[in-house]
Amino acid sequence: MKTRQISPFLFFLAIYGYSQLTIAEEEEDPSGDEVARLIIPDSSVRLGLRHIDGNARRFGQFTGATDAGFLPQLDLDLVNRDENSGTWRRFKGSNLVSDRRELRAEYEQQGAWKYALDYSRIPRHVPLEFSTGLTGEVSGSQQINGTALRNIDLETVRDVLKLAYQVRLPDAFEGQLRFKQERKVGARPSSIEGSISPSTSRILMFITEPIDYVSKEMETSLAYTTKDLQLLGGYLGSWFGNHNKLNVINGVTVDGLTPAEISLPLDNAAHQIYLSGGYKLSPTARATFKLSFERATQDETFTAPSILATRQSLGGQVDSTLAHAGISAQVLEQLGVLANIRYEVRDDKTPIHQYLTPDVNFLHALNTPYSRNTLGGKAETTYRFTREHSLTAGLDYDRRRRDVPSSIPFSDPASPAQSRQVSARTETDETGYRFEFRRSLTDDINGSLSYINSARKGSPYLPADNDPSPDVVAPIHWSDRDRSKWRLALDWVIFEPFSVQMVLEDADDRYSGLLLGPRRGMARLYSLDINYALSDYWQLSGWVSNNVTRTDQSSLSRSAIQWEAQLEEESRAFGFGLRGSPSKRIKVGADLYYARETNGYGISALAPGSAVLPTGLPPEIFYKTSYFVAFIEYGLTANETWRIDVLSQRVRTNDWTWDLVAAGSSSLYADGTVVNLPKDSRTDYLGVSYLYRWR
Amino acid sequence: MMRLPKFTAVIACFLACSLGFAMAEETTATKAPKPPPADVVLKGDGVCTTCHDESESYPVLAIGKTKHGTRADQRTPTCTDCHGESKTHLRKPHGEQERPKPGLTYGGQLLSVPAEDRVDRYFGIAGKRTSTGVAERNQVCLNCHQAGKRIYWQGSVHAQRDVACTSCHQIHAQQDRVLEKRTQYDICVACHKEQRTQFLRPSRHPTPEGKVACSDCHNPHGTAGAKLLARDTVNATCFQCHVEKRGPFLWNHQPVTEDCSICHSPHGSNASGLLKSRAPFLCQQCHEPTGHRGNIPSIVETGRTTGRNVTLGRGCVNCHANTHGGNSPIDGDRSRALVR
Repeated sequence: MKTRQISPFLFFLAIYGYSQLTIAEEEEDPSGDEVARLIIPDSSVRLGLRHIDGNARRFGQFTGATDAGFLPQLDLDLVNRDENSGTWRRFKGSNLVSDRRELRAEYEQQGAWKYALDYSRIPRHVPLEFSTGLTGEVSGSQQINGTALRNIDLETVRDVLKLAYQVRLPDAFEGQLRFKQERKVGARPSSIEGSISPSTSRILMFITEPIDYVSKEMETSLAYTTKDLQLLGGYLGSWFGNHNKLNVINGVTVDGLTPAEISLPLDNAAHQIYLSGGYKLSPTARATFKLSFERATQDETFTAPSILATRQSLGGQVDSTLAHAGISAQVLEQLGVLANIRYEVRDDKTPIHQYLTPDVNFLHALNTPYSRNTLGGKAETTYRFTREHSLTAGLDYDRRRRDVPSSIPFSDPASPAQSRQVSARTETDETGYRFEFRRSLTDDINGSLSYINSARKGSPYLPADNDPSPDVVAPIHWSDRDRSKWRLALDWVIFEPFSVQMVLEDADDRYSGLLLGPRRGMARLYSLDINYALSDYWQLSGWVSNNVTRTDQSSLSRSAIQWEAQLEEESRAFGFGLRGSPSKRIKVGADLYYARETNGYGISALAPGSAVLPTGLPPEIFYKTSYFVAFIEYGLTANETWRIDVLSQRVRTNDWTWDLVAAGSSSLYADGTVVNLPKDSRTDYLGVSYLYRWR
Repeated sequence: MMRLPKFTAVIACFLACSLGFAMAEETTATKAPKPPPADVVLKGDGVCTTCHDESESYPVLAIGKTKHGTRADQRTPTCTDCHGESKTHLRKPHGEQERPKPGLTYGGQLLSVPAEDRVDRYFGIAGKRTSTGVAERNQVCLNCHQAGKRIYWQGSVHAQRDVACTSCHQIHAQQDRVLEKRTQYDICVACHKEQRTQFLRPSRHPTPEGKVACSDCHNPHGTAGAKLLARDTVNATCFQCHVEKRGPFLWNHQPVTEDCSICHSPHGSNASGLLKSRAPFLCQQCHEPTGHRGNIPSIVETGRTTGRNVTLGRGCVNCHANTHGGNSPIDGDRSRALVR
């Protein structure tokens, strides 16, 4: 974990919080006003100390607390409402002295105007341990083996700042202005395949992807609201900037270029205008719509000259247009209908140029913009044949038409062509229907039973043009697919304090069209929750879930072995919860869960008689996570609470992704970098905090 | 002796008059209308708060700590705006054994837990114990909250499945748990069980930690797009935070331009990067088996484009690092192949 200094700002914030606490204590009416305590918004401050023990790399992945040791806690929630004017002032801060701090300040005259400011830090630590000689790992200029092997940590940190202003205007209008800026810095693991020198063969070397992004978003909108008509129109702008345009890797040659260069995302922008609305056609019917137009551009100057194209930048431009209309109505007391239609056009107007020298087939030379239009919609009707029972039937439709790269015959050296890397379809159509029986609003058993069926077809496949290709893979998102799915959901109060929730799902996908690629998909979910109120003061809960997804797919190896993989992902998890109040002053709670996640790969040869599979087929991977958290709260007075939290998390895995022991080599990377994923990490946590409330 | 009766008569008259006046005052007091009970929180709430306070089974006063309890805002409701006039609830009709419920009831909250701590759906009885239909209950909220993000509520998946506003929102609580990033997840996964298991996986968004809320990506009140997404498309929703993937790029990767969820499972995965499955398996779902693309994964075999070089680490992405799109105009097919 990178050690960060606590900023002076946070220090003063803590002092301010303490001073507010002191002032509040002095101002507290000793006689006490019970009604005021119940109706005036509370302010609070929480001060605490947490101790983390063990290997916290997993625990700190999202919390930022990756190191064992002590961590202070400061949460503030300062609320003030002027009862005469309805003006609110609110300052809320949580985890203020940690790497995941959040702040929010609001100033609002309710019903008139509102200002808001948000700040959030989002850490993301890579749980891997790296031993590498790479230097410059968080910059755009890196050196392979610039130093002796050393341990480094990789992480990214987002600092998100949001500002908002909202105002009510005369004649049912309301305006809003919103701005967001996000800075993301750090690095994540990457690699490069190149040569140490132009004459040596290519090897894989460890590098990082440096991240130094600033993105901004601004939205201004105007709303018009009456009882029957609501309109919302506005502008949404978005800008992305990257401090690093290139990742320059010193000590590596790629395609004769030393140092090697890897392009990074260039600055881009998007501007959208939109208008959406709803209208009450009658007391039981409503219509909605949305229209929007967006232009996304990327025209930053290339960091390396384009030898063949005269362009110095891409001149990228994508125009997207959306039109949506919908209606819902209760045409009879028992019969409701709804329908909507949506049309979306993505028009990639980026100019096409020759950037590369074509290959022997005069291919791969041009850039490849992708345009697409999508027409979708649904119609649904619900018949409520008793107050509690209803039947819904629906139709869904989705049609996509795509421009695919215009690969042309391999004969004209004067007209090199775009590349079509996979078999492509210009059109896919998916039509589905569904039924659902629902029981609701009863005191015992509520739930639904539903069935969904859909079929996706498409236009003939256009062949891929990479080498003499058999064109046998139907890409998973374009291939013909028949899908059926059952779902049963129950919410059953067996007797007054004892209830059960159950969800059963079973989905099946059948792919067809070409010889290889995805062949079948399956998903199952069984989940059961029980809740039992032992008394007015004690409740128990428990749950168990089993979720399995599987995809069978096949491919063809270079040595012409047709093989199949049965990719299975299974989650088995259960949890228990307890909440209770042993006395008026004491609250306790505990949660325990355990999850076992497994991935199997099930590789087999489809012609086992003649095929020889390689050694070292990927074995199953599991992750076992156990998590226990408990708390006890003691109310010293009506305004003071002590709280103790304990947490224990253990993650075990056999994930071989970075494990080279079986491979008999010290490293995947030829530069000597070793990456290790801890196989068993346990974190224990103890926190003590004091909460003071006042009004 | 004569004086005594006169005196007695005077006293008797005085007493009679006093008594008469007193009786007259008492009669007048009995016939005059009672002053309305004093309001505690909302305008005209005295008739309700006479009985309902924080100590009995339907604690209500915490409404005063909320936006609904800001009396200076002329738009804020009274009790009866949300619960109906409830005349039979106020005055139990003769012959009724039990007092009828208010005109509009919402239910679904566990009574023994303080309002600020309730997780309605977890322990309570969601939306039941009420004779008020879900649409009727929701209409009460929509009377004021139809605009903005709730324009598309009618016809949305949640509306069609009888989800009540109060299934998720706590009205009589200063901290509505579903509006708090740290607690919103608990409310959503109470129904969305599949997502609950997915968020236990090692690669996921920091949603249980409250750093990315479900509502950052989804608008549960209805949208003009699919899956209740916060923006009009899957990609537009992802670009809110991952805008570097928006491009357009010099070398595009087609699925990236169409739908991020072709390759990614946004609620959690065992494969890093939220991938639906590991490379090379994921890549082999689309790419033709020419060259090295169809090779069988192995964690032992070596080779530049076979075995562990395409199986371990990041799989195919070990070399094809710019999977989301590349911007290198340098002449050479490795630019187009998203290697650099």
